[in-house]
Amino acid sequence: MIRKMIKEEWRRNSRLYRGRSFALFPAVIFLFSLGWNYMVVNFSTLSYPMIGNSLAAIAGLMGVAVGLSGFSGKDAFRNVLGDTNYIVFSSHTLPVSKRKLYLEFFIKDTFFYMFLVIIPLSLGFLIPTGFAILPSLLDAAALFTLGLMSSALVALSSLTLPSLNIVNYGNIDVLDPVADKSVVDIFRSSGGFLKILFSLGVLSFFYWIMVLNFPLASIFLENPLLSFSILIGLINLSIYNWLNKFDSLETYSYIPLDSLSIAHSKQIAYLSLALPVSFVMVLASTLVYQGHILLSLVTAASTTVYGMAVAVRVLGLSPNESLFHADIFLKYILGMGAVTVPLLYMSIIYSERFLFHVLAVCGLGLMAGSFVLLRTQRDELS
Amino acid sequence: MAVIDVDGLEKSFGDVNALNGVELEVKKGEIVGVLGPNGAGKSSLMKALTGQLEYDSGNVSVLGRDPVKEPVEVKKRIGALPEREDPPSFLTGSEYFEFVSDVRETDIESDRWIEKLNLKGKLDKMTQDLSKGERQKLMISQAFFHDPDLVFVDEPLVNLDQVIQERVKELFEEKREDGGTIFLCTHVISLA
Repeated sequence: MIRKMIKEEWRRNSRLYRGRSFALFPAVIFLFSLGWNYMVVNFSTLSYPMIGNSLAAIAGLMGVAVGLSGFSGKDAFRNVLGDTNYIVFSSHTLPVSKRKLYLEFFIKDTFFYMFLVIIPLSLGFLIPTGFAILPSLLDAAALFTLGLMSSALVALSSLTLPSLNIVNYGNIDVLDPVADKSVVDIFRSSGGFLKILFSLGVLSFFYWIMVLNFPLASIFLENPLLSFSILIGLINLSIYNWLNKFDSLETYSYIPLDSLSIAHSKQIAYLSLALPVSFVMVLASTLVYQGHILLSLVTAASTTVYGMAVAVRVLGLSPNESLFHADIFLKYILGMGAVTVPLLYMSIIYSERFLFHVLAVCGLGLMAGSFVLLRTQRDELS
Repeated sequence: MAVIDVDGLEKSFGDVNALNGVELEVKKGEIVGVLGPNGAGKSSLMKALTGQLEYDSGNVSVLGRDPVKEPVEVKKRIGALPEREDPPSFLTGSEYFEFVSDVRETDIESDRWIEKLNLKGKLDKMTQDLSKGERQKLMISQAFFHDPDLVFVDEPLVNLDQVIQERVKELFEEKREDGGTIFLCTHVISLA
């Protein structure tokens, strides 16, 4: 059954991402990883054990992210995949238990992400180090599994919680119809708003554990709250993903809405959720680390707005599917990197005299975000 | 006066020629049925006429407008019941009506549709918890409640019981008597 599911997943993605483009995704990950590690090995003072530790840390983070897909739950299957065409739904008509099918579906997903990300990533670490960090692969595999199991457990157990009906359609005046509906979708789908808090909370928790306990991370992150606020813009992509998980352009094709007005509504919905959540995440993080609170709030707002612009422009209204398209992934990484990499660098070397510089890049991020959004309003989304 | 005017409409999906030089004229106050087997291109035709699908060549005018150039304007003036499109699943039936009326910037007489299509007690449930037939009733209601001059309906009787099927047919007839036009796609010979 797992083999058939993998074949099915491959065909689905190949079709969605026009064949080769999907097959190129692991190659892109490999090249990124290879290039980065070549630079690290040849132009930094980092030792091989440290590089091995960073591979393990990234693998753990990936495990957490993959495990969180458990939040997709039955709603996403029902609404996005449709509940009749996929092997995982064959328990409806064939004598196969649901539990067995879901377990195999989960195993299939693990294999799939191993192939897509972990293996090419690891090869990119191994080759420049002359396979000296081979023993770290065991740590990486262990952390990947641990991250995956723990976040999946949290995700799946949260699905048993009742979805919150505290947000009803028409209650929030500032939202237009599609934005309002998108927010309601999140609150009423399995796991409710908790799935967003869990997703961001687990990733934030992982970040703080790494920063506070692993020497490698603390070398890179001299001002962890500021660095965290920058990463918020990246992590918030999961909110944009959720907002687009339960509908598509097709959903509204028979009523007078065009793709641009729908994209506009998704942006409003995103900002109404992501900005408050980002501020809460930054403020909650001050419990474990204090410093630069106001600046961190400004930076979180800037990267969140900029992240939205890049997501809307590059990933469109199908972010979940688009991200594994090699071309689109590259554009997304480069787009996000244009603002987050300079900011991250400045957060590493930050001192009071760099305040203006950080604010200037934040301002540039906001302006660039606004510019991209204005362009989006003129162009047709696909 | 022609409310739909189609000349040489063509649409292909890869090697499949779905619409091949379609010529069509529908006048105000008519009920026009397009009958054909599965895969004949009925839904493609309806999507092309309602601005949901860009065609390859030909000229199309719906209520005097080009549905490809002005899809939103066309959709404002028409009602459309697509095939197999469910209402958003996390909204209740009444919230769905409110959603569509917000988009259309119009009011809805919910009581009329509850009575007509036997939806009593159903509008407070999330639409994902309704039966297929009940969801189809919601979709039929949204196609008509803003009182459009022209309504496109694709397989309208699917999943409906016999009593409701008759009421839907009456609805079509009422619309025609009021001067409206119905454009119907179906593979059911008796309905056409």
